[in-house]
Amino acid sequence: MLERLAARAPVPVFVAMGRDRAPAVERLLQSADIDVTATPRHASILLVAGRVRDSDQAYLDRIHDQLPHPRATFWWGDEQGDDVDEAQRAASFDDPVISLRALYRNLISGAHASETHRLADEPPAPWRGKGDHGQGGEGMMGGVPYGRMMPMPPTPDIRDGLALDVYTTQIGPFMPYWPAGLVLEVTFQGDVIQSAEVVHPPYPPRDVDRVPFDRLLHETTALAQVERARAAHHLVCIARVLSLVGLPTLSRRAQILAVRVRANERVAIEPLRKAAARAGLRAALAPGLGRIDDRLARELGGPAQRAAGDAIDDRSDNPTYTRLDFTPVTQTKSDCRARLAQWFNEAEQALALVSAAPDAMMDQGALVEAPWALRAPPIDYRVTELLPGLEWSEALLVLNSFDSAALCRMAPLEVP
Amino acid sequence: MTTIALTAAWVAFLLGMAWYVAVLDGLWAAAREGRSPRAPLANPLYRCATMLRHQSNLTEAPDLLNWRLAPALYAGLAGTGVALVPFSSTNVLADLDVGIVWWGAIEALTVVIVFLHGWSANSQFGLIGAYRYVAIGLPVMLISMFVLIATALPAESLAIPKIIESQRGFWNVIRQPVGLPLFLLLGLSLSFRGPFNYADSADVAGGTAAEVSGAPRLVWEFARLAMLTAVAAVAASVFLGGYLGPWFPGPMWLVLKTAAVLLVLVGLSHQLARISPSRMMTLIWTVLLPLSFLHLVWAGVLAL
Repeated sequence: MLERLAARAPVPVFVAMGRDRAPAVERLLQSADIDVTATPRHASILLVAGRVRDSDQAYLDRIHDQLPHPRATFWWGDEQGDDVDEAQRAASFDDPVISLRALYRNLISGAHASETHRLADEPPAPWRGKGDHGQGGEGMMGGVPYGRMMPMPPTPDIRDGLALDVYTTQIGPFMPYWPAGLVLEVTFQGDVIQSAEVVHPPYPPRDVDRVPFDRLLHETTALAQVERARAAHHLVCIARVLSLVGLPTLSRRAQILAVRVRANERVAIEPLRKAAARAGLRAALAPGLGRIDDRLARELGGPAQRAAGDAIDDRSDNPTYTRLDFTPVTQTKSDCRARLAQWFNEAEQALALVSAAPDAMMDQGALVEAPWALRAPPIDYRVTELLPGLEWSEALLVLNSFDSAALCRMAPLEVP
Repeated sequence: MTTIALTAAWVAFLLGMAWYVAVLDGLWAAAREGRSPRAPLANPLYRCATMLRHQSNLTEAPDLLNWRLAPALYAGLAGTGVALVPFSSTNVLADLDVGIVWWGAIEALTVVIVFLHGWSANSQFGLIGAYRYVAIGLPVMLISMFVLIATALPAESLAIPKIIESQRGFWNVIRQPVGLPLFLLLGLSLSFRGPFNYADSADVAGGTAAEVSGAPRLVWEFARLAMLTAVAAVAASVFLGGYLGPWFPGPMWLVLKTAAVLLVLVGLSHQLARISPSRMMTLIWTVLLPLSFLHLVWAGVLAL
């Protein structure tokens, strides 16, 4: 009875984004049959989208072992060898929902065996806690655990004077609403970030987003394809911010819109924008949060530069666009609010261009602005400099207000 | 009604309302996402079965006793809150002269238990969720106490049945119009939903519930719905006259009013964005808390 009921539930899936050949995972959200979870503990299936970077394999194994039994792994978008069961893989252009449901049903019924641990089930460091509940040494809050003082902030508190114990932890690379691939070592005091360092850099823009822009380098390409890809990219970026401010349903709507835009459907972004505004999106993004100076914005280029007020856009010099009276849209404040507004405006402008010139073609090699920051060598400024003093939720908003190309340039791996 | 029948009604009320909220959540989310709902009536049951089918996992050196107890205690607090609410003038499971004070204790203990749930898992996101919850939960609790004391003034009693009887002329929502909206904020905070979900939100990978799976997670999720139900039932009683009303029997009025309050709470939790914890604290301490105090003064002057 329990198995029969559980088998009818939406399939709880935790998504680990790979670096290469990753499919557009937002396609999963079109189906109410899939429940993308925020933590591996709530999932039955670990969905690996694309190829995982070698240095991330250990993180992936750790995520895998956190899934409760019964559990299974499903590979989507990367060519797996013959040793992977047909039931546990799908090509990037396939719709995996039916396969995921079948796998889940078999897991629940026991027809598909639950996967065992990939890592040894042993603590990474010996636990030396004292007391009935392992809480530490003597005194309130285990005042002197392991014979040393409580680790208090090494520097004066940077918020309200309330000194909480500090702790350092690694975050990423597979956390939801977190730049894919990025691993930071973060030192917290309470929920406030004291310092952060890059352990692994983020992934560059996804292959699926790059397709029409790469194609334009080699062949004549429709303006509509390029602009639809831009709108879809921006909608996915918007969706991440909407989730972070506690609007998961609008976030899902934005991702479904992105899928429909890619599928050449006619969609309107304005209702989403109005719904987000009515929900208090502006209030949720504090004015000035994540503000960057003009020099940094210019170095980054792309939407981040235009959000700072610079009307720099390669499409201004493209005759196909000038015939359509194209003018770059800009913001002025250069903060999270401005970058989000920039994504909304550019996505709406992109769809307006599609409507205005549905059949326009661009010659091979035509100059077109990409939807992300300039792809160039790392810059001196580090995104980790923006984080100290921010609460965790604010830090996530700041990180997600930049596109992946901008983050790649602001969060490279330091070479010792 | 015998004690056994009252207890059965109490259990049915808690389970039924929890299911009702889960169904409402599914319908509201589908409408916001612009798609048709998926088996809206049965989906909550399917999800329960999935959670039960999952293994109850362990983390690295958790405080296991507190981690396992926290969901049960949270559900117990919610159940105790509903027990304070009279189904009719003669039928109440916990008829206390100090019902409002008891409810205040439930609010305070909820803050402790949610913190315990996040802390005892020995996980960073659970801890962040716990820290954030305490920061927001404490001042919201103060607002709630001012608001509830205001409802006790016209009744000259701290007993919920007497507060209901004092509304035979006018419901408190008419005499004290600011009280109900402020109390609804408490509902969102106690069950950490929508704009007040600082404990278990997606930005902390599920927060205090980030490491929980299996039956403990089911109990935790049920407890959140039960706590929302308790808040709605108390709100229906102290602001909307509880079981009072024409034509229908008292228990039906209580169910209808509680369902209506729950509809508003679910709507608020889906419709409003969440601001950062520090800005929310500023809003609570500098605007909402003074407002609740002025509200108490207003209620006191009216009661003179």
